[in-house]
Amino acid sequence: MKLSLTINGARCEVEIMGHETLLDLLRDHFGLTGTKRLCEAGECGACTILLDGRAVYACLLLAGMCRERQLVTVEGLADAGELRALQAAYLRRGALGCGFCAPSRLLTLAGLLERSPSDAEALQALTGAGCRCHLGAGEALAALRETIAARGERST
Amino acid sequence: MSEFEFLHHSDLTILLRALYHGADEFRPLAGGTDLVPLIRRGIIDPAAVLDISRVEALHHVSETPGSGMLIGALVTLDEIATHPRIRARFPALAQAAGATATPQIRSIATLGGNLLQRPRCPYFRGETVCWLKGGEECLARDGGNVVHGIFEDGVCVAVHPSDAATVLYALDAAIHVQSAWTDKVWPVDRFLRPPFHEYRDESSLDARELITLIQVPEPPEGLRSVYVRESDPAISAFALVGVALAAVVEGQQLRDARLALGGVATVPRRATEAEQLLTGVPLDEEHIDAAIAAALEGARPLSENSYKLPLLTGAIRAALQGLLEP
Repeated sequence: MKLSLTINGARCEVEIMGHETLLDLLRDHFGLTGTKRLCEAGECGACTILLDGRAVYACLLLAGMCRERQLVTVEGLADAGELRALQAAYLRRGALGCGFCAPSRLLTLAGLLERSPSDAEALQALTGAGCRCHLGAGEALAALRETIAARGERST
Repeated sequence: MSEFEFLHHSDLTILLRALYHGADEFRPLAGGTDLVPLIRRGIIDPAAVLDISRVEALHHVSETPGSGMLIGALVTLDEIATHPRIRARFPALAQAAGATATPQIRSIATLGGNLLQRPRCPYFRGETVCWLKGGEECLARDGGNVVHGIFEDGVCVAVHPSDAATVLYALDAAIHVQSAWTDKVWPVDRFLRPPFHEYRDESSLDARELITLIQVPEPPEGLRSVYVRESDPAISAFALVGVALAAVVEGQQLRDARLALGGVATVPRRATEAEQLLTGVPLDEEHIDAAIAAALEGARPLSENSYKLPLLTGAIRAALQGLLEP
């Protein structure tokens, strides 16, 4: 079937098979390998992306479900090569650990920016985003807080 | 993953007709958070999936005086957890939806799909051919059964994984289903039922039907509700036990008490005798102990899950406390 959707701001039209997952499409068709392939059962969170601004698992979505939707992968987070405030804060805080979960955690946090989450909500969301080196989520949470605070200052 | 076609439409009538004609070969797809893994593991093998997720009419929450609340089958768990009217009127339902899985799954998973998800028993999910998949016997009975049921209701001892279902039992919810030619309304405790004979699934839904609405009937004035979920991420992402309690609190006594238990059998259970023992009496130790004893009456833990008895006892106590001291 023919699928049209927007990936990282670019409108795409692509021919897909019915059984392809969004994860297959992103990695195999578009080469966006920042979205990790791991458990493929919605258990690890390493394939988290943003679908219409909300963090979701690409392994659980069939590609066809994303027709006319807006997707953002980690490759689309930075703005013309400039790190977003959230990414910069993530780096400054040393939240990377081994780096494996950085794409999924960054996208999870990006999806929370507009929702002014409590710490408990943010931690729960981070738990769903696939850290495998047991880094803990304190620094990632601090990066979120820092980014939200900086935005507040800008808008006042 | 084996190959299948992807069909979609946003018109319910057209989807129901397609499903009517393709029933044996088609699978409806809403959020897909359980369907996709089931297909990937080869547990189901449809010729086509029918994406129903864009049917606007099934994506609303509405209230009608006298009819309670109508929740469209496609409303997501996240929407239920954050919906101001659901949180105000049926907090247990919002609590259950908000405690399920991860935010990444709750954004996609629908209430209808949550009721229809299949058990998380490793024998069912794995490559073994257990009774539920058409085999001769339940492999968990004499195998690993740490997350399984403590009440027998047939051959299978897996538990229904839904948190929301347990709450819907306590709220006396009704499930509206539709096919191309018929409408039905089931009480939730008949819509879900233990698998039996050749009907090796957990619901009364026909392959040609869709859940359209979940109706929470008008509650008695002042009804409070609470959901208590006991889990251990080291064992399972799903509730080990869940307790939903709803009642009107007058003074320190309960009226219209409804107590539902999840994680204990193939479908949730209402503890009707315990409900009666909790109604209109002082909630002292003696009465609470008697009600808990009644709720656990008939429980027969398997080799690895007798821990569920004290866990359930604690959860019922916590639910009572949560209801009395909101």
